[in-house]
Amino acid sequence: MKTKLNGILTLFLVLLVQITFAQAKTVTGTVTDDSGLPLPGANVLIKGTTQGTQTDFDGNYSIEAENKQELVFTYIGFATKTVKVGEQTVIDVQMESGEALNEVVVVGFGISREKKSLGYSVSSVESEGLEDRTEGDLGRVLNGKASGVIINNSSGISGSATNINIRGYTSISGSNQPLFIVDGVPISNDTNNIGDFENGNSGSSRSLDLDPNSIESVSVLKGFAAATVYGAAGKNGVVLITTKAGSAGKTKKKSEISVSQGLFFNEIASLPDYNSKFGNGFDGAFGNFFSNWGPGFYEQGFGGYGEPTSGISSDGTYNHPYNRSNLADAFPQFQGETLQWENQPNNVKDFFRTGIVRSTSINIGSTSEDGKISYNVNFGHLDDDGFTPNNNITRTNFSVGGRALLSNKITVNSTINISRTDFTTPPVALGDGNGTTGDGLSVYSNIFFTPRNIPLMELPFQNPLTGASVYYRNDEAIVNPNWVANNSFVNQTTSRMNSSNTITYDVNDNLNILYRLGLDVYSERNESGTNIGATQGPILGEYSSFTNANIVWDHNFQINGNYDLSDDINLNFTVGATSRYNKYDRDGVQSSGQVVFDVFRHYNFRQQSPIQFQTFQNIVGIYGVADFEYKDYLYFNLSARNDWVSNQINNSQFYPSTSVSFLPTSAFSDLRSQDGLNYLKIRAGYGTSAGFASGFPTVNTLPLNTRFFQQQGASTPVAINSLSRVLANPDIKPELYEEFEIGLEARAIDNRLSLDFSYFRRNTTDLIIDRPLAPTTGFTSTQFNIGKIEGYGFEGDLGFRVIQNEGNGLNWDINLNYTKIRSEVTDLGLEPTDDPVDNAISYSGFSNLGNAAIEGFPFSSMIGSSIARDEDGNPLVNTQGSYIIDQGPNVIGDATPDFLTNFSTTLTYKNFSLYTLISYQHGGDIYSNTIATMLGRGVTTDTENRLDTYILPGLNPAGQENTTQINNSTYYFDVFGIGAPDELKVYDGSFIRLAEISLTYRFPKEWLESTPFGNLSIAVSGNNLYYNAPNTPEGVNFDPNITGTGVGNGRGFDFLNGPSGKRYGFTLRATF
Amino acid sequence: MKHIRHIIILSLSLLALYSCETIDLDKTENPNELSPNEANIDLTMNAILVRTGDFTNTMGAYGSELTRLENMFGRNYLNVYGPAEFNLAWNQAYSDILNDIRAMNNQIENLEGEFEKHKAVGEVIEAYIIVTLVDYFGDIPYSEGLDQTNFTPALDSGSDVYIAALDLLDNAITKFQLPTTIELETDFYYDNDYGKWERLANTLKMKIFFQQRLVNPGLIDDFKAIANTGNFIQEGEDFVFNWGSNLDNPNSRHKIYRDQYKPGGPEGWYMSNWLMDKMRNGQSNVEDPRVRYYFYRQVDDVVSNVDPATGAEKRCIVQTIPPHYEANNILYCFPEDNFGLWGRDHGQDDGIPPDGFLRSAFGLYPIGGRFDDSSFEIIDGNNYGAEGNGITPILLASTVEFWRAEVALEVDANPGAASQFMQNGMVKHINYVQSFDGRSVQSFDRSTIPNAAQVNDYISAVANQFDTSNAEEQLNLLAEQFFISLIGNGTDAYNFYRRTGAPTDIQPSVELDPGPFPRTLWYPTSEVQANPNVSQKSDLTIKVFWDNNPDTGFPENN
Repeated sequence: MKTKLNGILTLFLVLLVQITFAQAKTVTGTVTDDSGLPLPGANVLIKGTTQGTQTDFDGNYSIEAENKQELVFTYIGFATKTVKVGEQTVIDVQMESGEALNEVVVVGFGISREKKSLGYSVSSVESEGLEDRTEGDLGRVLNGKASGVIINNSSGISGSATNINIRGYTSISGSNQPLFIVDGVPISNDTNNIGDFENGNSGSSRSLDLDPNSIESVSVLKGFAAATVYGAAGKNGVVLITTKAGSAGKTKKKSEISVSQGLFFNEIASLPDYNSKFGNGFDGAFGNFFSNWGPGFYEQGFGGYGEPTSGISSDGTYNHPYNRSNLADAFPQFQGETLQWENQPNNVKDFFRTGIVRSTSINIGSTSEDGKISYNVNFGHLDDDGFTPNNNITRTNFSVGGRALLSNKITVNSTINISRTDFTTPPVALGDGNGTTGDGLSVYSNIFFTPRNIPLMELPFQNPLTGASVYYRNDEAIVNPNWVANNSFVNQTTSRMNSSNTITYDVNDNLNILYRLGLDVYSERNESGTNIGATQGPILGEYSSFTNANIVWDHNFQINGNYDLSDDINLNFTVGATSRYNKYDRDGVQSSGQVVFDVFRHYNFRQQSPIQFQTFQNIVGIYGVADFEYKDYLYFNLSARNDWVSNQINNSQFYPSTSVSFLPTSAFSDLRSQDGLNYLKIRAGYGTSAGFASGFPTVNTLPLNTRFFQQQGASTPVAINSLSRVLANPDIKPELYEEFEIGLEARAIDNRLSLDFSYFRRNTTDLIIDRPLAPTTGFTSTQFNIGKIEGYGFEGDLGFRVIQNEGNGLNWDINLNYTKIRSEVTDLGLEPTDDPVDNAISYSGFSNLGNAAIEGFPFSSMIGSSIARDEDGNPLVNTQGSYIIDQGPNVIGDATPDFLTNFSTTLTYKNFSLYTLISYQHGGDIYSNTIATMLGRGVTTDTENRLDTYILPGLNPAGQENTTQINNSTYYFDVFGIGAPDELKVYDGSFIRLAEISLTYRFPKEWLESTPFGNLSIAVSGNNLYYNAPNTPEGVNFDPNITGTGVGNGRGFDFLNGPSGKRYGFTLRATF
Repeated sequence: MKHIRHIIILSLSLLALYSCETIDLDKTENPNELSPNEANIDLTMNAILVRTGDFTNTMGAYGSELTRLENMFGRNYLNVYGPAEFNLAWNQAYSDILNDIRAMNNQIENLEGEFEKHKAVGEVIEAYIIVTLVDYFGDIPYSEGLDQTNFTPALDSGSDVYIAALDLLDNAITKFQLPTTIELETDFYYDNDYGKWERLANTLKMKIFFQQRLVNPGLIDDFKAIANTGNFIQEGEDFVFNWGSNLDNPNSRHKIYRDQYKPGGPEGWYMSNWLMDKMRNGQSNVEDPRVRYYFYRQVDDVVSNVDPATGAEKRCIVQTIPPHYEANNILYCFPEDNFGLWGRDHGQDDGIPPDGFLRSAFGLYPIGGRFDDSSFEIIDGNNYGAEGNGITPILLASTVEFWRAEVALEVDANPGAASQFMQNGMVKHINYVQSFDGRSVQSFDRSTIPNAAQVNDYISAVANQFDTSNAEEQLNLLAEQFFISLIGNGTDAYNFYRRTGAPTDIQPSVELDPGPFPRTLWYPTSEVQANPNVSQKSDLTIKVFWDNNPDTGFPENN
């Protein structure tokens, strides 16, 4: 007994265990379609259990079953067939076409359900949509593939964070990022920024650690009815990922090895179209300004350098920027030198490079002869050089998973994914068109407005004596972008392991018990540094190193049952209990005051300060789900969960959900016809969920600073303690979400046409808000339950096989998805004021330029300064002829797009397949510092016309119609540029994008017969090869798909911190 | 198979045991900060005292810019400073300084009778802060403020806040006179000399009485009563915050020094052409002895350092003088004698040209910068002059003399007494400025320090001019001298300007029509957005309670 116990306990620790308890018999067979052709990939499920398999390429299957069990055969486009096992060991099934979409999808906690039984919307993306992509970040690969899901990049930096939102924003202060579940257990998708969007924002999102090539399928649960069992963590939708390792055993296959190798090129896509006519200066006169409003590169004519006031010598030269006394020692070679006054068309272009992306993926899967042991091993390697110098991400993934049927009573599944992700980039931070405004530097803040005459790549960027930045401005008010790229860095190396381990014990045919242990740990080693010699930001040199250690430790205990309550009514239920422990620790050191140039170790810095932060939260939940099935056309679901959380005093929340699905085409078979309607499902769901406060909101704190101020002559600094400005709220309670969803799914015309449509309304009450408090209370904010957000949305997926041919003929599929989501802040629970903006609660960006919740306004409303207007709305103009600015803040835009749609087509002919994904966003305002800077600095083609003068419509201070003319530089600078009211930097963010295109050639089988290859294919693909934002200035070439405030609840702001990239290349894939 | 069941149960209990930490539901304490009951009173006091210096530095700059002690960057008064601009100082005043004073007092109350000096110092600081807030913003929330149970404190009239401040000061004076039980661990201002603190409290009372002279003339008697006792801050007892010279972690240097003394040359601030010109050329034969302390010239000549064709370094050189400047013969672009003093005109908001190594920097006084010994070197590093070991003046001994001069001139119509008080103020201030010689770590040519004779010449020249002028000119002259003494904190200058409208010949904005001069500032966004009892002002002509001057057209020449 004792040795046996030890042996069994070992089962929890090993991956693959080959101990077998012989019990059930093996049933085999072939599944064919109505014409007798084998159906590969058909689902075979033992009714009432989670056990199942899929048919192989020849339609064959093998499954362990007992005599009294029933096998359920499903395949898209065919009617479900149920066969009692009885004494048979071979069960061949011929499927009948007609009723469609009896697809099985994974829903809560790894439970599979027939899709037709679901009363809520689920989107699935299979591995074909994820593999061999030019992007290595799962979040970005998912972009455009599922309706209701909106994905934004924080920048074109390889490895930068990705913002994912499902069905709009429901929370103001809480996270709106979805829950990631890998093989049944939650993993962290945190974005641990180094700094913030103003001071430098370069962290990756941890979804980056997943290798898209290792993923078997992704289901996206969008609504609360779907996600209730996941508790509060699932309130923002759930991205359910089944890895190939985790799906081991679901499909029986012969031992197969597949290898794919991709090689892609990565280039900047958003390079502006630069002005080729004018150079550095102001009002037509040369000077080492930030701006490019100087004389022309031509001699004669208006604005030419031949004019006596141009500042350019008559021989067409100007003073070399390093020809100045303070650089005489450093650059003797430039003293007395001049430069030719000419355009440097590629000075910015050459700063960027073509990055090379190499990705390798190897997958090995096998199942033992008896089908009881199966395993899958996946190895992935990604080496992605960004288009920005010194930006790289290198990732190695290894995952292994297996399933062992120990007996017909016990099944063990285990998956381990390990990854190492090494991300390096120059710093990225907010740029205002003059440089950075925060503590840090940014590689992008100065590069794009490089004056057109500056031979950037030919100028030394470093003082050879001191290592300090040198650039064309004699006061070094601009840090040389090359200096930043080469002397300042952010590095994040993440070692991660996540593992899901499940043991299932079948009590009897109707009941099983499951225990799952999930562990997700990562250690994120962060290093960032800047050499001494920057002329802005960390001028003394800075270095910090710290480690973020995060652990998610998840237990889940579940009982699943399946009973026939009567001949017509079947009940499927799950009850369970779960606990989730999440702890985050940050520890490290920050140093400043570099001694020896270019040595980044703490001993080389004069001053050190500790970095330490910790947060944790335990959530315990119990939940239950009951699914009733009436005949085969009415399904009813009830689910509920209660959560308890560790960081609140009011810490318990119960929330129920229900949904119903009805299939008229099954209930009334007359509705169905081969060439008419094949399948129709109507569904409705009501779901609830809850959100808990983050951090430790119920206690007041007293920050202590041991190095606050050092008095003259004192050898040590004085310490202070001072009450936190954040007021505790011991009464904080969970925020509540409610959603009502209806939907319709249909197939028609011999299944060539499919439609899946959902409409939902959702609202949040008792919102937890970082409510700003009047500073006169002694505090500036508190977490508070207040107010309400209401939202609604439509999601639709329409598929049509336009051309259908048998065999290798021409086939053309098109798919269109559509998403429209609106949400509005209907109540903030504050006392009404004349102007609702007075009560705005800003939650992203700055309090006077950012996103704010305003009663009666849409969520994602943007506030900022605007043109001052009189009571009748006439703009006010000052005596200089420029607008007077009303600092407001006033509402300046709404960042929520009107709708998004993605159009994809797949054209296959013989061995060729052409896939295209085109995305379109309609509306959605964006405040763009990139545009303001490009126009204000006069560097793009938009500003080449320098003849015109402008008179702004409006009233002058005397109350009369403005008649003061302004010239082009004032116009672009003050009206659209850096000096403009924020209102005028807001553009309509509509865009169209060729998101993906790929052409695949699959070598014919007969060619491969004499080779070791089972399959061999080659694909040429591209990502973001074309985009156009028609309502932004053409020459700026601005890409609105950017979140300048980083991952969070902000939207619609670009702070000159995110050019976009494009990728193209090819992939070779082979199986053995 | 039965044993398998046992095994499962055993395994689950084992795991449950290990998972204890995962089901602990009482983890509300924050591991990242102290709890308020762990406060150390002296550490709280340190926070209060240092932030008072910082707060004054921030607020004082608004006063300075509005009164041409420093360049104001922006053409329209309406939006030179947006409401969000003031969040910083306002939040610091209420949520840090005043809230910490209250927290400290609560803690002291539970300690029975000790720490009376801490309490008294807190009262003086509180009085100063609230009076300053009233002077800049008008009515402010106070009596209902700093209460965790009231999220919407109502506004108190400025005059009520003034009364509350007087109460605080009286209470403080009583406590300063008690025997000391426990001293402040670090007294940043008076090194635990409570006699000085008491005189400071009296001086603040004088300020409160004097400030209301237009609307409550009777209070001048209270002012004089204290003045006659001499129980106010004397020379050497200036209420100033001393910044340190530590460069990093913590950077304790004067905030303006941090902007001005860096590798790329001075940034963030321009000197006021008006102030430089007044000090340099206000008296025909002798310059103000403080010029070399206030302004560090990187070049000895403005014109020759500007490209005459393009004006790239200083565009006003090639631009035409604004008609309203030309018509009134107003100083434009740079001080008349082309002495190398490189600043900006009032309201000038042109883009920043490459003038980092050309423009005049703040000097040794008050920010601890470099003494101008005509070395004409560029500033391209962090360590020059006194390395930031400067001051933020909060209330100077000289200021009391200037108040008394104003009373003599405006209330008592006694120009002779006014002249004497003004000269006393000048002497006190010049002495104080000259005491900064010793702060400079960097050696400089000490022969360029104005000697006593030059100082005397200057004072007599101003006094002569004063004594021979008419009443309006006298007020203007007094104003100029008072303003000159207030560099580093323009709060009293801004008050003077709104009280008297002088100097009437001050440099107007380069914008012909900059809109009405702000009589108070916008309420900060942070307050307006969170407190329905504080609505934003309709415009900037809303006056502080002690200002009964005309709503429009006052002060003239803006």
